[in-house]
Amino acid sequence: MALDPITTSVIHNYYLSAAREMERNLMRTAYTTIVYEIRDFGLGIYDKHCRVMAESPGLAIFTCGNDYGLKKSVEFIGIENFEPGDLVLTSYPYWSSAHPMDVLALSPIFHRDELIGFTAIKQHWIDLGQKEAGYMLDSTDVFQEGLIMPAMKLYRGGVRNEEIVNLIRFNSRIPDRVIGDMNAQISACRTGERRVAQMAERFGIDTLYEAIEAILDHGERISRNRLAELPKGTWTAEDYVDDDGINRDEMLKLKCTVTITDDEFIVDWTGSHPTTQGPMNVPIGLTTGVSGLAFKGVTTPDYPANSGHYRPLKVIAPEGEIMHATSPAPTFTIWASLLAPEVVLKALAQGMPEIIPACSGGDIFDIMGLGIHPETGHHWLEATNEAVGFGGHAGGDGEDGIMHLTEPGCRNNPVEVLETKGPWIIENYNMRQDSGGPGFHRGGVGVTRTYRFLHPSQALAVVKKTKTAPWGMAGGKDGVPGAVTIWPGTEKERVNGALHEKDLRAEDVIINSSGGGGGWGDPFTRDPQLVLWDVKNGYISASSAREDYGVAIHTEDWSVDEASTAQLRA
Amino acid sequence: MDPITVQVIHNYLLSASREMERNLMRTAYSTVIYEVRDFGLGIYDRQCRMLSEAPGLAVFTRGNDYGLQKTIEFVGEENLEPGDLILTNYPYWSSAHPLDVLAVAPIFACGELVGYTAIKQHWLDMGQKDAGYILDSVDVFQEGLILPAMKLYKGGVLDQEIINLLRFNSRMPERIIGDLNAQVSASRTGERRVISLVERYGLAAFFQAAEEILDHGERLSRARLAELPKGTWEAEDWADDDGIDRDTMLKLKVKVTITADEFIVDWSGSHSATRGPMNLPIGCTLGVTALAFKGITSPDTPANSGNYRPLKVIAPPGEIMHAIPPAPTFTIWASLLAPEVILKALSRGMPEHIPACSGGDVFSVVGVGTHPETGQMWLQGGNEAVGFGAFAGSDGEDAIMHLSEPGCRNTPVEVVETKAPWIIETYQMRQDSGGPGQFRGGVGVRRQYRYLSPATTLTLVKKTKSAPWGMAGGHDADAGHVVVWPGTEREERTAAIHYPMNTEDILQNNSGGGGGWGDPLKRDPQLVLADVRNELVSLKSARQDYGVAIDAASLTIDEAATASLRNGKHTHP
Repeated sequence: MALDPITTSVIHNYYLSAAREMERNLMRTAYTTIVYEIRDFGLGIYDKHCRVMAESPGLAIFTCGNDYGLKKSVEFIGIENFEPGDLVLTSYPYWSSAHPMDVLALSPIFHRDELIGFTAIKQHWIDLGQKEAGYMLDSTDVFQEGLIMPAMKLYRGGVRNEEIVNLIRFNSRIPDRVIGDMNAQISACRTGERRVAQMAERFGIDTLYEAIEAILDHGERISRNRLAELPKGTWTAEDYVDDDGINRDEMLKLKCTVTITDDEFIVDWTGSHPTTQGPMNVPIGLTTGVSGLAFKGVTTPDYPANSGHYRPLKVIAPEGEIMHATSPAPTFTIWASLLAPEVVLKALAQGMPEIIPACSGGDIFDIMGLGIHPETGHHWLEATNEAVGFGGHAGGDGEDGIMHLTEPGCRNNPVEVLETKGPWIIENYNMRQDSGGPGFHRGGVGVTRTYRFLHPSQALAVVKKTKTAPWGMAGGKDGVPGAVTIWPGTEKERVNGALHEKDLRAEDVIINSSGGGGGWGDPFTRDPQLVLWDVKNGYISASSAREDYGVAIHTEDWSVDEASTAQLRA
Repeated sequence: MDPITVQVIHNYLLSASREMERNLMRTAYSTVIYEVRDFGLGIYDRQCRMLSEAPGLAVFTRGNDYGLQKTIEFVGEENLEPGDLILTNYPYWSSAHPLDVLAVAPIFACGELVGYTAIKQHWLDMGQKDAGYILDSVDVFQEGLILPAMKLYKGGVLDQEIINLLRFNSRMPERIIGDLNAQVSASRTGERRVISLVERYGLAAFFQAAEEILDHGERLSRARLAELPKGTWEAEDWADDDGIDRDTMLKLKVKVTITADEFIVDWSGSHSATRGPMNLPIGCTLGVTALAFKGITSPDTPANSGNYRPLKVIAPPGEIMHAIPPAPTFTIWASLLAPEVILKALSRGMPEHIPACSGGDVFSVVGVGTHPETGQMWLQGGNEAVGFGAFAGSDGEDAIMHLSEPGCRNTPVEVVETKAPWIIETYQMRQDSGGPGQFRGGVGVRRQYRYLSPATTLTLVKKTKSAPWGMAGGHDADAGHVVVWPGTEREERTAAIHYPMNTEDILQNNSGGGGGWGDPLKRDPQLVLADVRNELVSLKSARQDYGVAIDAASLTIDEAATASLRNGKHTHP
C-alpha cells in the first residue's frame, strides 16, 4: 500500500529542515569567515544507499560531489564496519571530489541498531600543510597539496581519536582555526544525525523507508517530465580555461557534447584537454557534480535537489583527460569545474536558445590575502569570491553583480569583515561600467574591488577565465572578461588572471575586476529608454550607448536624442 | 653486583642492538637502509637512558635520546602498554628531518615497563613538496607528513588507519611500508631480547646492572676528561648556504670549555635561523656535539648515556643550531659539519690529538624519476667517501665515510646500476685532493654518473666554499664539488643542486680531501714517491707542494733536484 502523500511530504520537509539546521549550526559555530561568511561548504543528508535526500548547498558544486565522496568512503571502510557515533574524515581528492583542503566529514545515522543513512559535510579547511600557505596555483602532484586523510575515523563509536586531532594539528599552519572549524563541522553532522533519528523514531522505520523511495521517485518524475519537454538532439560546445598554472601560455580546452533522448541526458566531456601538469584536473566525482548542476538548472531548478532528480543523467569523462583526474594528478585549483557548467549550457543553447542565457562573467574571481598580522603576530588569511554579471537571455537582462552560478549559495565577504580581519583597506567597490555585453537584453555587469595592503603580505588571485570572453547569444555582444591588476598606475603594473605574489609590501594595490555577462539579441533593437536608464545608473557609458546601442544621449538633461538615435540606428 | 654479571648483561644488550640492526638490514626494502645504513637504533632503560646502540648514521643515535624522551612525554608513560609501537617524525622532537621517522616501542618484562627500543631510519617519501629530497623548503609543512607520536600498534594491534594514512601520503607506498615493516620487526627483536634478559636475571638485577653500565660509562669519560688540557677555545666554519639565499654563507661558531668535571660546548653566535632548510633541531645539535665528545673521550667503547654525563651543550633558540617551529630543517646539513668545528676548536688546545679537517661532508647524490624498464618511480641515493685529515704521526685515511656516518657505507656501483637508469662511468681516487703536509691529508673520490633516461637529480653538499683546513703548517685540501655536464658548453661547477637531467647528461661528484698536517717539505720523499706511483699525488704537486722532484719516466726521485727545491723553498718562501 502506497504511503499517503501528506506523510511523504512531511518527511521530505523534515529532511529539508534538518539539512537547513545543519547549515545554521555550521555557520553559527565555525571560526573562519570562509565558512560562515562565504559559505564555502556543501552538506546533505543521505539514505543508507548513499542517495542524497536533502541538501543545503553552500558552494553548489560540492553537494553532488559529496555523493561520490560518501560512496567511496563507505566502500573503503565497509558499511558493516560502522557503528553509532562514528565520524569519518576524507580528503583524498579523487574520492572527496574537491581539493584536499575541502575535507569531507561523514557520519552514519542509526535508528536503534540499524544504519539508516548518513550526513555529509564538505567544507574548506584553511590550512592542511599544503606546499604553500593559503592556496596553490602550481602543484604538480597530490602529495604537494596537503595532508591526505583516507577515510579515517575521527570518532569511533562516539569516542574521539585524539591521535587524529594531533595529526591535523601538527600538519596545519593554522591549527586552532582548523580545529575550531572542524568542531563546527562535527557539531553540524551530529545535528543532522539527531534529527533523522528522531524522525525515524516518530514515524517508524518502515514508513521512513517507504517515504524515502517516494521522495526519490518523485524527484525522478519531475526530472523526466521536464526532460520530455526539451528538444532532443546532440550539441557540442567548447570553452577554454586560461592555463594550468605552470604552462602559462597554453589554454585548456573544455569540450562538451550533450545528448538529450527521451529518457537520458548524456553529458560527454571526451575530447577535452589531456591531464595537465599543473593543478587544473578535476576528480570524476566533481565532474559528475558540475554536470549535475547544469542538468538540474535546466530540468528542475525550482525544487530542492535529491538524488532522484539525477537518475536520467549520464556523465562520461575519460580517464587521462582534464575532467577525470587519476592519482597522483594535481587537482588543487579544481578550476575547470567552475567553468564547466556553462560549457554544458553553451552546448544546450544551440538546441534551445530561448531557454539558455548567454555566458556569465564565468568565474568566481577569488582573492586571498595572507601573512602575519601586525597587530596579533599570528597568521592571517582572508578571502572572498566576487559577484559577476549574468548573461542576458530571451526573457530579460542578465543580473548585475551576483554570485556565479557554481556558487549560488555563497556570498561575498563584506568590506567591513575583510578590513577587520586582515591588514588591508578596500579602497573601492563598485559596479564595473560597460562590462556587460551589449544586447537587446543587456548582459549584467561585473564588479571591481580595490585592495590596498597595509603590511607585507602574500596575495593570490584564483581566476581562470580571463582569456576568452563571456559569449553573447542571438546577436548579443560578448561581455568583458574579468582581470586582476596588480600595482596599477606604476611601472610594475601587470594585468593578469591568476597570480600568486609572495612579497607584497605595504601600500601595494590589487584591483579585482570580475567579468560581465554576454548580451542577448541585437543591441540596436534595445529600447532607448532602457539604455538611458543604464547610462543614468552608470552601468554603461554614454559612449557605449552611442557606439554599441546606437543611442545618443544628452548628458546635460539625461534625455535620449531621438533624431540622432534614429540616424545612428538607421 | 658482581662485575661479571654486569658485563654479561651489558654484552647481552649490545648483542641485542646488533641483532636489531641485522634484522633491519636483512628485511628492509630500500638500499638507503640496507646498503647506505641511513638509520640509528638503540635500547633504552625506563628513564630513556641509552644502554646500547648500533649506529648506522652516527648523528642519529644521540638524537634518538631526545626524540624518545619527547615522545614518551607527549604520549605519557602511563598510557603505554605491551605491544605498543609509536611513530614520531616531528623534527623538533625526532631530531632529524621528517623523512627520518623514529619508531619507539616500550618493553614490558615481568609485568613492568623496563625500557624502550628506538629506531630512526630514512623513509623514501612522505609526500614532501618535492619527490626525493628538498633543498629549499621554507617551513616544516612543506617537508612531508608529520606524525606526532602516533601509536601504529596499540597493545599489539596494528592500526590499519595509520597504514592507510602513510600509504595515501607517500609517492612510494610499497617501499615505505616495506621498510616500516622491517623497522617494526627490528623493534620487536629488541623487545624480545630484553624481555628474555630480564626474565633470566630478574628485574632487580637488570635495573642494578643498568646503573652499573651507565656509571661505568661515566667513569670512562671522566677518566679521559681528567687527562685533557683545561681551557676554552673557539672556532668557526661555514656551511655553503641555506638553499634559498645562495650567496650567504652560514657561520657555525663554537666555544668549547673543558674544566675538571665538565665539557661545555656552546654554539652561541652561530648564524641566526635560516629561511631555507639548514636549521637544526636541538636534539640533533645535542647528538652531533656528543659525537665529537665521544670521539675525544671514549672512542673505543660502545656508547651509553653514562658517557655523556660530563657533557653540557648550549645552543640559543632561534639560531641555526636550535630550530624553533615551524623553521625548515629538511637538509639538517649543519649537523654534518658541526662535529669538525668542535674538533677545530679543540685543536687549539691539543694539536697533537686532533686531526686536520676531513673532506667535511657526506657528498650525497640522489636520483629520482620514472624507470624506463618498469614504468615505476625509482629513487636511489648514495653518500660518498671523503679524505680524512692528517694528524700528528700519520697521514689521513684516503676515501672513507665521513665521521658523521662511520657506520654508513657507500652504495656499490653494481647496485646503483641495477636499480637506477644510470651508468657509473668513473669511480676513482681524486688525485691531489688531499692537503699536502708532512703527513698528507687523505684524498677524496670522484664518481661520474651518466643518465640513461630523464630524471631529477639532487646533490646534497654544503661544504664546498670553505676548504678543509690543514694543521700545524699542513696545507688545506681541495674542497669537494659537483660538476654537471662536464666538457660541454653548459659545464657548471656547483654544489647542492636540484636539476632535471636528460638522457646522456653527465654528473660528476667530487668529494673533498682531508687537510694536511705539518710542513709538506718535511715529508719523507720516499712517501711522496709512493703517493705519486699510486696516483694519489701528481708529479707536479710533488714538485710544487712537497719540493720533491721525480723523474716521470723511471718514477724515481731526483735527489739533487729535490734538495735544491727544498732548500730554495726554505730560503725563498
